Amino acid sequence: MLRTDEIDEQIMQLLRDDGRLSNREVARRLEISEGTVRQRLKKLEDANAIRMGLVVDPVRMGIGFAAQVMLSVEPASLERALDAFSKLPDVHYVASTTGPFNVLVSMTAVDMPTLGRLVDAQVQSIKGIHRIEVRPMISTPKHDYHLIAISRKKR
Amino acid sequence: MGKSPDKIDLQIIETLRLDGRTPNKSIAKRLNVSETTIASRIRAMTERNVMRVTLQRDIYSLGYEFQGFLDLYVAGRDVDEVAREVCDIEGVLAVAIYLGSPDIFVSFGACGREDLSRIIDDEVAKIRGVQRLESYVALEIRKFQSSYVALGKSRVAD
Repeated sequence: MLRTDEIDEQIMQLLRDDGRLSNREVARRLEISEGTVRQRLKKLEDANAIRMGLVVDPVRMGIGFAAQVMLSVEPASLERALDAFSKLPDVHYVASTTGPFNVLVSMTAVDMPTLGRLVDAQVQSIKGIHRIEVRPMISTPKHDYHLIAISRKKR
Repeated sequence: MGKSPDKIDLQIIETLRLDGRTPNKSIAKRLNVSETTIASRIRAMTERNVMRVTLQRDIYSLGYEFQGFLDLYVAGRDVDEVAREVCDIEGVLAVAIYLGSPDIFVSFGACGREDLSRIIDDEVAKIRGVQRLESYVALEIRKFQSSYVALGKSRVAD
């Protein structure tokens, strides 16, 4: 857990409400210096605690289909499967899990056949995927998009 | 629903996808349009819930130890009603309604074992209409981006 102080929290709150605020504007509202804002944000970003993300409404972009894809993958192919799925731009979430399936993938596509083809292509090339279940989502009553996991592997 | 984003809107979105904090001036230069155009486009798209630049926080830095999931099977009660109750539980990150069975997907963050049992046993399992539930936890999260969200429709906890 990363320690943050009141100033960090206030900066984060302003940028959560409007990520387009300039450092100068954040500084003006909190009556601190622009350099302080810049340093604080850099510290948080370097610690992989925050990211300035872009959130887009899928329907406005012509993306009409969202599903959770549950996979049962052989242990020897697990790493490959996690890797292959996380490289797809339309995949937003990939994790290995406990339970009857061992990989959970969340993805979107313009329509169902497109998503089916995407999944099929992976399954063909990875080998070792025994079972697939595609669970279409009708609606999302809640999605707290302010929370993500920032990969520790990359940096 | 309003109009769809046009070519300039899409180019702005692509630029912001790489860096959400790119100044209007730089985007204007890149797309060869005026800075005021960029500012008004971004404002309009944000107001119309097409897109939004926002600060996102890492769940581990916030103190969550692990992420878990629930598949809920509902009986004797409206699925949307049950889903609405699940949304209010502290720690619940996302709730989706499935086509078919299971009826509801839940993603949550837990700060340890006690918190896990609070969410599952004390809260979700006690909601009227939850007939059966299956739980599983994430072992290794390889990718977790909240990049597509039904803005304006989906609720966000404050």
